[in-house]
Amino acid sequence: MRFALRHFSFRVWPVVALIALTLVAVVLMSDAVQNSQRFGSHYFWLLIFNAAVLLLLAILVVANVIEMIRRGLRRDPGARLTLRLAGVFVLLSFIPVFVVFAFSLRFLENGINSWFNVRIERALDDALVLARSSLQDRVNDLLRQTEEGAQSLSGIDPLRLPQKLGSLRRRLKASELTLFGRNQAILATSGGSLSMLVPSLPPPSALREYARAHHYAALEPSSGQHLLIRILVPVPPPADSVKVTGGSEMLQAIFGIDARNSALAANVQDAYNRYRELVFLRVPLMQSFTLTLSMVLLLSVLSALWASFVLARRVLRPVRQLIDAIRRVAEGDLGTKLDARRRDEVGLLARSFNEMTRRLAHAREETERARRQLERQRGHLQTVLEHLSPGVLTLDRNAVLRTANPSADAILEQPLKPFFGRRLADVGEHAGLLHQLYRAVEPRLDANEETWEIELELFGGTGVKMLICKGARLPESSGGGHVLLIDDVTALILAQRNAAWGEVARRLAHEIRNPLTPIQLSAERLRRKLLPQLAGEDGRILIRATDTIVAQVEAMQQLVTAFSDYARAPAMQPQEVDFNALVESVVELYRAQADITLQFQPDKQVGLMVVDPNRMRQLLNNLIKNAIEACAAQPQPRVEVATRVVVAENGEVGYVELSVSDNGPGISAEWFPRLFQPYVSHKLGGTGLGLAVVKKIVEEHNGRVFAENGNTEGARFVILLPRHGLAPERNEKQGES
Amino acid sequence: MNLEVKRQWRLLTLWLGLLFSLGAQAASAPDFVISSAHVFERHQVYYLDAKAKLRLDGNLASALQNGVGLVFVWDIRIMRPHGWWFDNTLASLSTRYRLRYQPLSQRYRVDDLNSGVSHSYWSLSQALQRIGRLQDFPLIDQSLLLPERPLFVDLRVRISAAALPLPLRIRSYLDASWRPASKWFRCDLR
Ligand SMILES: Nc1ncnc2c1ncn2[C@@H]1O[C@H](COP(=O)(O)OP(=O)(O)O)[C@@H](O)[C@H]1O
Ligand SMILES: [Mg+2]
Repeated sequence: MRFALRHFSFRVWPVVALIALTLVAVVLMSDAVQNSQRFGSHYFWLLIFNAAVLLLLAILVVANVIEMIRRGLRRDPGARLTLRLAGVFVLLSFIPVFVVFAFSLRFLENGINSWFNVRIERALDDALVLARSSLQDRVNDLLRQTEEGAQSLSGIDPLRLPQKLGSLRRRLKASELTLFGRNQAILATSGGSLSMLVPSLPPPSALREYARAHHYAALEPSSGQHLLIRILVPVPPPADSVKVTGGSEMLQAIFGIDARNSALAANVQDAYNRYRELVFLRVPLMQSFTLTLSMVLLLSVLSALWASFVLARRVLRPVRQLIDAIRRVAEGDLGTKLDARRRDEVGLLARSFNEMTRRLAHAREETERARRQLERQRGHLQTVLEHLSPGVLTLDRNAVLRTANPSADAILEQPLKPFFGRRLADVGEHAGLLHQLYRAVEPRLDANEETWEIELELFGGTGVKMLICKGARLPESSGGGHVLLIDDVTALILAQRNAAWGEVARRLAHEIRNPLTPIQLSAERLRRKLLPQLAGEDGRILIRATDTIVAQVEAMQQLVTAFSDYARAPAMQPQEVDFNALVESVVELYRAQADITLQFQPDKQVGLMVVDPNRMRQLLNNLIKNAIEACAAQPQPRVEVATRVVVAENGEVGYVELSVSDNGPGISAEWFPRLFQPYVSHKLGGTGLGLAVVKKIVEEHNGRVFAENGNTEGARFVILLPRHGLAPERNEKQGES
Repeated sequence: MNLEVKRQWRLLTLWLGLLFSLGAQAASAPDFVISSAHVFERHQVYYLDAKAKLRLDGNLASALQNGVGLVFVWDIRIMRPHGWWFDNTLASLSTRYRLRYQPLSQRYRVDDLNSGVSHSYWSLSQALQRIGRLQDFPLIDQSLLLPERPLFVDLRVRISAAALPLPLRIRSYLDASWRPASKWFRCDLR
């Protein structure tokens, strides 16, 4: 319904035709008011028709207004502009229409009033009175004459009556004379014209008047415009007659008034009547003129209203389309095109708009393509990064972690996603390796070098990790920051070390063991050959010397064997053992030495651990032996072995701490840096291999070892082992190397 | 501007007057009443005699005095009753009289518009009496009617609004007192 109404209200031509038709109707109406002959009979229908059209127009206008306001509220493109323009149109059309209406009313009133004039009215009244009195004079005159004539008829012989009546008629110049008897019977008549065979009878009203006043004289309308004068007078009875009974005879005289006078009188009466009618009709006439005028006004106003709506819509249609198009473009629909066929400025605007959207669309396509390409490249890079074995981390200029690849997660032993967007300086201990990494690289980041490379050793849930970290400054144009490349080289370094040990052993075997046997053999041969020839002191010297040589060579040989044993260490054989029991069994061996206090403090929580028990025993041997050697000179030598479970802050990566402490002299500060290096010994006859082996075994277990001096006395060696032992693949790798 | 306002007011009052006169058709005593009517047959022709009391109210009387001619119409319909449906109109006739005041002779003149005969009267009541009286008004030839059915005649007398001058006609559309009419009067044809 509403749709239909809108549809209809926006149709232009039917309404224009209707308005034109109504205009014609109004013209006819006004015509009818002035000339009731032609359209007078249709006036009512014209009125109805016009009223209907006005109603229809009013409905159209109201529908338009409602529609516009609705659009305005809905903020349709251009609705408010249209409303405003329509308002301007309405104002422009209303003012002249109302001015014209007001003036028309005024002119109408003045015009109608100008028809009436007191002087004209008076003149017409006077003319009527004059005509009436002149006619009355004539009537009176004729009455007198007729009365005289009636006297002459008094008492006349009935036989001479027609003749006498005829002569009297001619004398009186009457058109007709009739004599009535006492009972209204016609006694005689004399007519002027032959056509009138039957005398005209006096009307009852005349007879009544006659009965009352004994005479009757009046002007009577005859056929058409003609007037006649009827006079009734009694015929006096003859003077000699005495029998006066009832009434007397009655004479009727009829005088025609000549055509000219009749016409004049009729004209005066007509004019008078017309004028009176006009005066009487003044107010109704004003009303009907006002009605017509109001219809015209309403028609104009409503048409103007409607037209202004239509016009406003028409005029603003390109603007509305433009607004709509711009809105759609703003919403991203760059396919929007305007109709550019018009040849005016609007067409130019439309063409420019189309060109603009075309360019915009082109530009957007271009960016889209570039973006897709970038995306592809990024995806590519992402894949590369994901499959890259080194970990890659990017930090921005504030050392906020931006990205990290899966390898970085693996190396740093935790998913790094949760740390994205956080300043690494703010992440605490619980972030484990990430935190250690940051502490290690922080000075390099601060130094802000172009590229740098450091090796670092981190201790995490799976033990020691040796990393090579390369850093590069990101270009300032992309916001600065750093990219870190971390490589887990633990396995590599172990392998390198092992290879180095093998080399040492091989060279020892080659360079030292080989000459040893000939030295021994030569010394024995010297003794066998020379002993029989030497006696006494010389013989003893020889024996002592050759014994010393042989003994020293044997010692050397043992040393070399120890080296090659160390180098050719059997493969790791990790197995699950009760760690405390293992430690206890080693400590037990040393309890036999009575002059030393050896204590073991196990931590019940340690439980089962995956280690190589032989290597662990060797490690403990080396440490306990060193401790005993260190504190042997003390008056109350005391060695303490302890195990302890250390849980990291985040509760996840725990490790087991094994410590061996003594109350010896401690370790000089200058020894610390080279403590765990092979061949570093500060003891007479020391090989310097003890701690090197310890370190090697700890490394094979992915653990960490360090030494410290006690608070008051002695040294303390601490070994940290990953609590959950070795990862299987690490075991394998270790086994191979 | 003041003048303008005054004119607007006048327009408004004119309209209001029209509206009120439309609403104020008070139920007063009817001015036109048919008092008797009867049909008789003579020489195979039906004739109608009827009498109506006609009275002109102030508006119409002053219109008449002011030279406006009034046309009186007798509407006569010969009807056949049709039971439950509308009655059939077999024939309808009308006769018209024009009443005018003649200021020169100070008489009321009645023109029979059917025959063209005119009469004049001293008084309005005489003229109205003349108009309100139908005498020997020939209705219809008996031969034109089917014999068996009962028939009757409806008649009324009224003032023709269409014959009023146009400004009054607009009023008469809105105000029925300008076009008085009697009720329909029914009498048997036979
Ligand atoms: N418990 C200890 N207290 C003080 N010094 C120690 C202790 N353990 C080892 N050291 C020092 O570390 C050196 C290296 O020890 P090690 O590698 O076992 O070789 P060696 O025992 O053959 O000298 C020793 O010479 C000693 O000076
Ligand atoms: Mg040692």
